[in-house]
Amino acid sequence: MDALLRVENLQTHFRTEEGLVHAVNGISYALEKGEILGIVGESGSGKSVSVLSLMGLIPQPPGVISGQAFFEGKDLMQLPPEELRKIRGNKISMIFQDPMTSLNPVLTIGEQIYETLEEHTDMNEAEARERIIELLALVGIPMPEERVGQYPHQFSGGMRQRAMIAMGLACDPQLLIADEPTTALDVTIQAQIVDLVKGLQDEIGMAVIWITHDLGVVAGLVNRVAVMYAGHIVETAPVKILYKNPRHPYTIGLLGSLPRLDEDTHQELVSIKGMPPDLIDYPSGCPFTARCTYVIDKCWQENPKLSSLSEEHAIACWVDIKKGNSHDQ
Amino acid sequence: MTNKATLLRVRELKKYFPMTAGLLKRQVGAVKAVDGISFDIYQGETLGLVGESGCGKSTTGRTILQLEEPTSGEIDFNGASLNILKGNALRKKRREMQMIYQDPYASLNPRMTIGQIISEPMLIHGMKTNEGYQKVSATERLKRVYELLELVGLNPAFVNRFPHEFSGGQRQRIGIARALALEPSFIVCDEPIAALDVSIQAQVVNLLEDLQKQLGLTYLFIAHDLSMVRHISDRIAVMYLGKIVELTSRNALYKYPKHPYTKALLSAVPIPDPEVEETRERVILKGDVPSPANPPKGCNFCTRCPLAEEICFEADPAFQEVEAGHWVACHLYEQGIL
Repeated sequence: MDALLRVENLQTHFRTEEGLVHAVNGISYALEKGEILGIVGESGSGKSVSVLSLMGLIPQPPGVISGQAFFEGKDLMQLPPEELRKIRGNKISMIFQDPMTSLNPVLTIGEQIYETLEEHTDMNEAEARERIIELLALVGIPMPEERVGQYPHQFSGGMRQRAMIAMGLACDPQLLIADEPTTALDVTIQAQIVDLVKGLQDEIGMAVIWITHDLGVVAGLVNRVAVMYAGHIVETAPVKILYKNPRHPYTIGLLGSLPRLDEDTHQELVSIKGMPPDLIDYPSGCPFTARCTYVIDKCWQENPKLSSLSEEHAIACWVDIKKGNSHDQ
Repeated sequence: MTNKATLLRVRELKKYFPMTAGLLKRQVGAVKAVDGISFDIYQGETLGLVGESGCGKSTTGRTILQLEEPTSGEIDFNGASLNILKGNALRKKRREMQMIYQDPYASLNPRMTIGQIISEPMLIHGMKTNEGYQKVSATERLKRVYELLELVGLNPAFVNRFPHEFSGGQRQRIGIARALALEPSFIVCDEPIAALDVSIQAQVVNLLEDLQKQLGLTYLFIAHDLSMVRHISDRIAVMYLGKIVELTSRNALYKYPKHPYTKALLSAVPIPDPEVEETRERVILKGDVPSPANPPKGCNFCTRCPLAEEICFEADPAFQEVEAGHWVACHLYEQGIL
């Protein structure tokens, strides 16, 4: 068991009045030490729910979670809450999309970071204060001695996200889960944060799961990408292979629908027709069938499993686009 | 491009929002959301307006349409001075200018059917005919609604449904149909795709481009996503803290950016290609955008500019044409340093 985190057949459904919501439908992946994995998908593809499930942050009910997730040999799904609490914020920490709503407005930044240290370490207050100032400096917040006593509203959006990252790093985690950390930020600030995480990752050697809907951000940051669609991983590959040789029709469509800053010609964007499926009235075949241009009969009946094309590249699709066949293989 | 007729001419447009304090609401300052900008939009083109949040790009769009009263400056639309027009005359002019909003969830009335939403402009202004705008019967309005739904790629059978029954992309199509109801010549698109998923963004952008070709529309396309703006625009204006810092054709802006802010902004946009990303050099800006209530002395960008010289902290650079059709506001360029 060399992988830092190995997720197997994770399923998260929600019981609602309208019916069962199939948010995550059996995903498996492994993350090595020091690796950066990008999980890419549109809203509702289950990318956030999948990591929240791992961390025990989905209340059950209404959530119904099954599957396994091994972290350092322990199955996170089976751990009692108090054991999980020791790992969460300590060995695995998480930063969230919206730094505005995920910080407590009535506590100072220092107090909020101290909560983590108080829970997981036996530092006294003076040591903790020193550590907090060190952390704030590490994430590039100027004048950390002053900033430590300030409240979130005194921070700008980018600074708040830096403070969140400082909080996430407080206990030197082995895994940092970043859930759309730059979506709410402007591009120049996004570049600062991406640069920061890359630098920290180099320095500290932690593994990162970077969740985003933006294939652009991921390109320059991660080692490997998993593309999610309707609660499934439909394609996973090392980042260079995925962009150069995407094989799942959804990935191809997604890349085609992105305009590129360095494009020369003015071509019409290749859009993916239609919309993602209803997660309550979940289709029986491949969830992408209704939007796919390569459909064969089998697609409507059976959902393909993620299967390997090469050692590191896997897709979940009945049709091999490379071979150019679109009918019964 | 310059031989085209000018549809909209904006000169020295300013919009300050007063800040008040105390019991008597005494004015203590002003947020300079838009601080003296000038540009033209030519007939049939798309002018992209980009900038980070808070730079005043949406306020610019709203002020042009007189949804906000400008503090000073001139706005000429098709020969009419919008900043002077009042009341009924302004209302009549509004038929020719429409707006598509950012948030497709907040910009449609949840209690109206989409048929009612799309026909409301026609109820107020009448329908465009050969003899100008005239009141028409409900049947004719409905006919037009069917046409519009078809035009934006929605099933006309949906006419009696309510907004909550539609997805974000479909709602944005409804917003577009409403904007087209009066056959305007000019549409301000205020971040029309920012709230949509990537695969849906491309659908909406393609629709906007098709409509422009079909109907000869002129767009002011406001966005923070430079890749998308580059894709859709003919010319692009870059805004920073209430001012336009650079304005030129899409290709010149991306190939030969002159202003240090434009360069930094371009380099911050990720390109979806790991191999390009590996070799790209980034200009990472330090710090944050200053508050528009208290902009720095001198050039607005001087606090973050990696190249700032002494003069940048003292005087405000003029916005001038340095090459045919390429305007820049930067001291360094003026002095030949860049």
